[in-house]
Amino acid sequence: MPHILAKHIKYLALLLGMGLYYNAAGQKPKCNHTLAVLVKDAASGESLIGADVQTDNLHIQTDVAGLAPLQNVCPESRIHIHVTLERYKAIDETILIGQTDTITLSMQPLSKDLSEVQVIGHHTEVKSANAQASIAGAALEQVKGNNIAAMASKLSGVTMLQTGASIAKPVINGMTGNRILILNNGVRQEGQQWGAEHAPEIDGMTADNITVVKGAESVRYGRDAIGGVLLINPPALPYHFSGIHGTVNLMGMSNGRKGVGGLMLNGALGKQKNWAWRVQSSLAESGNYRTPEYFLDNTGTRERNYSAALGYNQKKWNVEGYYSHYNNEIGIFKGSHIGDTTDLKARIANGRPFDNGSFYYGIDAPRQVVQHDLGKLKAHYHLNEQWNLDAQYSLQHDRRQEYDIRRGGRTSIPSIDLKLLYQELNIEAAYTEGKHWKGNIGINGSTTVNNNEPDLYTVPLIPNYDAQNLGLFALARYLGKDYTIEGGLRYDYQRLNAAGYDAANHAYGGRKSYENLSATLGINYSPNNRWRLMSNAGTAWRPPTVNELYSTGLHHGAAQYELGDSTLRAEKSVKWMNTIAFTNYKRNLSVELNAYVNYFDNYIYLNPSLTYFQSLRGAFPVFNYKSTNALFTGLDLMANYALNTHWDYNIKGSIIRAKDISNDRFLPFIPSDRLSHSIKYSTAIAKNVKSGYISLEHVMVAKQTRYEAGSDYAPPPQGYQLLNLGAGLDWTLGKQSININLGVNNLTNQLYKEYMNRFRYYAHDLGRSVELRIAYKF
Amino acid sequence: MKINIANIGIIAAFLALGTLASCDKKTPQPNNQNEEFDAIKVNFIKLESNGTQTTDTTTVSFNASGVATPANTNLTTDKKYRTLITLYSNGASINHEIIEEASEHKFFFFANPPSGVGSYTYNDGIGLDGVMEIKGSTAFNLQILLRHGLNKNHADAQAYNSPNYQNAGGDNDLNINFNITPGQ
Repeated sequence: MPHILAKHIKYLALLLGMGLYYNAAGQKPKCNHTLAVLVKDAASGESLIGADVQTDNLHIQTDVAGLAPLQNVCPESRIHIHVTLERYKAIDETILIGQTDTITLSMQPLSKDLSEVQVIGHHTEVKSANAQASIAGAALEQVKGNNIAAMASKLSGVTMLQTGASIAKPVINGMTGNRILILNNGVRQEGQQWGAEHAPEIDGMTADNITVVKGAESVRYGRDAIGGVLLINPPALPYHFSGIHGTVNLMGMSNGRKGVGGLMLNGALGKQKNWAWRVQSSLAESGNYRTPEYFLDNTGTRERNYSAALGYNQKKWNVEGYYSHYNNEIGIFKGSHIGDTTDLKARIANGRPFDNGSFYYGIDAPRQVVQHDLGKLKAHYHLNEQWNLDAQYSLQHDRRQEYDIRRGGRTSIPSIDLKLLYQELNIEAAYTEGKHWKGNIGINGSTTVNNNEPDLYTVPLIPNYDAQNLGLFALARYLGKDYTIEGGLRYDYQRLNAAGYDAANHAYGGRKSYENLSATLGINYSPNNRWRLMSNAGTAWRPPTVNELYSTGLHHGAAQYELGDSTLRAEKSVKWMNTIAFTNYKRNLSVELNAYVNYFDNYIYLNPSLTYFQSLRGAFPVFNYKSTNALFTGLDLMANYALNTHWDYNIKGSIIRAKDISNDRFLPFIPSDRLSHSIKYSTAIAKNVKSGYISLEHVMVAKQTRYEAGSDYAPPPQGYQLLNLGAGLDWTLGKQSININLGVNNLTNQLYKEYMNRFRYYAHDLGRSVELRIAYKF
Repeated sequence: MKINIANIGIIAAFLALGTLASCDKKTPQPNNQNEEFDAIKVNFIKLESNGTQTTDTTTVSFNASGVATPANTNLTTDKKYRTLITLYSNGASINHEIIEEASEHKFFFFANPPSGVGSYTYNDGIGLDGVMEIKGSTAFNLQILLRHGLNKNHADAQAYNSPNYQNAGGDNDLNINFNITPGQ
């Protein structure tokens, strides 16, 4: 049995792409390792409180977070663990411990006959009947130092909407901006998402794992969770650990000559080690990026981020506080700065900048300076066997300054200077009755205030506004023998009050309110440990954003005249997401297919009116916000096949079809069909140098042919293929480890344009980049 | 029981924080936008053959939408005109802003058909002040472009009617056009 288990562990680790490797023969290092055992319900993924965890010389119960700390454990050894909890099948296994801090034991409810042990790092699972995918561990280390959207785009079904090389918004199943929700450390990300050129204000270096939930999750999370939810989770606080642990990250990328440095320290305090803390910081600096043929002038970036967390964990309750500061300055490619339509047409006709640019680190106008502060306080209380309570208060302050090329010394005055304050309070109660029923009820209130700083000598793009939201929800789950059914309802109310002056100094704005009832129903059926079927239908909504309601002028960044429509109603949708997953450990094969249909009532989009606004600056095309009915359908595929213990083959692909069904027209800015596959060879190089690997990835992106001629300035570019090379190793030095990854992106220095990059009008995408990442963990 | 009180305290603190912090937007101020020019005047002052100025001045005015008054301008063929351009914002000239950033600004002039303009000489290196020679007898359209942020040393930024002015970089700050009919 232990033999089979060890095999399972290994394949699971391989499948998760975490590159963990377990040495059963192991030497005998110092036995002062603290191993946290996280006990979870195998069916629901929820942490289990009060489970008895016994080893040969320890007996401890899991706390409110489902954690049981085992102290003085020998790393690289076998440990015999016996876990019992009422209504669950006992776990009695011998587990091989690597250098990992946490092992997760999934307990099967008594009605199920198979137990399963997963060894993963700290990992937050999401309770949902929707399809999910995660990136963590070694796979995440290989993409760190990039922006959050680029990191998430490694997940199947996730792509990016880019504005040049440094600004990217994540796209889930064709949805982006206010049609997806980003939860940063459990907090709804609230910045200036209304702008296509506004990237999420999140430091990717804080992430321990990134999870995408590809379905309508409005019942759980409220407005905006239409296309999916992206969760960016930091590592769990290290309660009960002894000593100070941490990670030092150093990265260098040849393209942009980018340097990134990161430091994370954490530890536990107090007699019982019930206090846990973490501090983290990252710095990054890059200069002008390069396409295979020329430099992109003024594309440097500068990032200064830090965060801190403190928590206190008791048997029945815990409280955690978190604060993070994000500070990013981004240069906007000079060749994208256009005067009027004549300029735009000349650039598009040229297809590339008029000069070859050069390399420098300096950032000049046009540029963006963004600061984002997030503070949160979270409390959890285990009331009794049936009830658990959670409360979370969060505050976000966002300041976005955009500097344009201006005359008369005004370049040093921002053209846009917005200050946003968002506060949210969530209170949730979770209920468990017997072995079959679980439920959650919650209330959620939030306020947003977004103000333009005055005296900028410009006409603000959006008015000043405040908004208040209230949400009430209830979710119930029934856990059957081999299935789970989940249903839920939510009521949301939003009040919006906006006021501004247009270019002619006419006042506009007013009060509006929106409400919505969302519902979800899902089933998760797993007849055996090979097959898993999931189906979830959920309605979701979002109120129109202020720019969709009130835009009245020239959007210089886009060289277009945009007109809002204050009569727009809320956008409503229903998404039906289906998943079929097959895993055969004996044949080392796993396949997952997601198929979805997403229907929109009142899909809001920017429609080209085919008229021009004339001014002394020249002519600008007029776009107006309109709504229509839209239908999105799509498929995401991911599969992994381990040919033997060394060779691993991985494939993922996605297809999206999107139409304005009222007018029988294709919708713009929908990712084209794409498929990527990779082959990886892994081996232990030496006793201390484990999980060495070399991999080659082939990315194929088709041309977007579903396009309405005349609806865009330029037709979609040709499809392209890229090769990416990766190699790395994990060097263990006692309790410390050094993880080294070397990657070459766009190995063949292919000249290409991506349809989803809004700067494709002016320039090509990035050329080859050699990237070195070193992570020292102690 | 202690724990319960602690928790209630925490929840109460959350609620208090949420209530106390400011929740209302600021009252917006009317815009004091003074950067975009909202009117332009082009003065054509007829020159004697020896270059001295006459009192014969023809003025073309443009409103914020770029519409010219008069719609058609009559100038004398084979004559040179001192061409003065004035940009206005809220009734005041903002030419000084262009002059202060002379190294980043340049006007270009394109006649269509091209035969309408025989020559143009920059008096100030920018084009706010120059001398234009009107040629032929065919009515033509004159496009006036102001480029901002260009490399003025670039080969394609030299001629007043350089067809490849885009190669010198920068972007359009101003793009107007109007009709001129040369006569005797």
